[in-house]
Amino acid sequence: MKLYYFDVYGRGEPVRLLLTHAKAEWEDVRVTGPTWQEFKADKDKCKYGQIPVLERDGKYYSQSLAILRYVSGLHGYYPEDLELRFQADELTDLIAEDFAMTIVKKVFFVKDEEEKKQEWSKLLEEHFPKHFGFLEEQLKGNSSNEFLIGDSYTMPDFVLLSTYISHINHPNRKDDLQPILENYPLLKAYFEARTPDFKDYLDNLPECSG
Amino acid sequence: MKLYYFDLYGRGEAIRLLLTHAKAEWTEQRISFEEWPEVKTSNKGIKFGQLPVLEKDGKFYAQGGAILRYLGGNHGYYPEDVEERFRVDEITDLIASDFSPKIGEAVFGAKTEEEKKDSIGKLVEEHFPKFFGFLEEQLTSNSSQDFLVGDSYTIADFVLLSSYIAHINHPHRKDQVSPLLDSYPTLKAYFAARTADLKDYLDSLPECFL
Repeated sequence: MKLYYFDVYGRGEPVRLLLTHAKAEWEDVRVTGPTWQEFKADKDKCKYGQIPVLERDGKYYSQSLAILRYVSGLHGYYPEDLELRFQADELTDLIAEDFAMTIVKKVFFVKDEEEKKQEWSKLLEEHFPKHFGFLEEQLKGNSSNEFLIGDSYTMPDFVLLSTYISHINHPNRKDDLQPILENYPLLKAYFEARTPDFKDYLDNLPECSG
Repeated sequence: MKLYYFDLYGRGEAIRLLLTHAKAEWTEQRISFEEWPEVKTSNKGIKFGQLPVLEKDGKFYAQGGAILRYLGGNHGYYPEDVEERFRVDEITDLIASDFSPKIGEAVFGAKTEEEKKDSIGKLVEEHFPKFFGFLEEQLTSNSSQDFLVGDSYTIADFVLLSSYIAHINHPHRKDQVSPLLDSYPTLKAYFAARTADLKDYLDSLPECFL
């Protein structure tokens, strides 16, 4: 199995975390510049001209969340029960799209430095507390405070931990975000409980802008 | 079962199409933009401050994609096989996340009819052909040309049909967009066949701007 993605956390990190936790045999292929152009041009491998793409047994899989759900299904992180499965889908979409992609669009994609700073301030005031609140509620209502659903890893845990890497614990952003996290004790405890499971991976994490 | 959404096609229409095709027992509440601020705070089922939300047996389900997969699972429109499910997820996400939003933004962002025609015109040059190409490829390489994945309706078909309603065949846009379909014969035939299945529903469709 090979995961092709840029040298960023972005939309690839949840799959990297899942495959790491599953102790799957996989290769983390980070494409840059010329290798990206070459990969993009190969319509068999990169059918929609985008990455991440997962290669497995000679087949190619695109769309980051479709890939995540696929590897979740392969490795036992996608619930069988329809009600629990719904929760997994609901939280995954909430965290990956509403929470994380909003940050990317409002800040990372903005070129003007002044506008970037203003948008970031707005996110700190409103967006982060709102979503931390939703997650705190989910943990509070769950049977275990240490996982988002049930008492073991499911698909949304990997998406949430990816936001920990991209934002909450990111060297460029942690000073702004850790203080906000203090107001959400269950969420804070969740990260403290989950990150030791990835100690080796996190110790060797390449530093990326996002 | 009750669907709460705006009086739009948007992220609700695929759910409406699924429930209609499934001949499920359901009602809906279309919330106007004027009532929305009040409904948002008073209805505790709207847990993330967004629509659509589905109410079923006293429980509330949020996130359009998650609702669609849940109903898909309940009504036989979402495969259990991991490989086939991936194919449904991949094309569904392509349409819902990469194809439709750009068109929605062009329509929503335009202040005048002139501007709207211009924005759509630009998309007709590149965006629509690119995605019509992907969809043509999906249909021609599928076991059946009559459906996106497999040989019966999946959630992917409902998502594509909702895009057909909101964008491709929308009264305000069809003059600009539907001529393009002539270059994608399998896709064109797909729409003709699938909309015939939903004739009664489509004949009574309320007209929404998006």
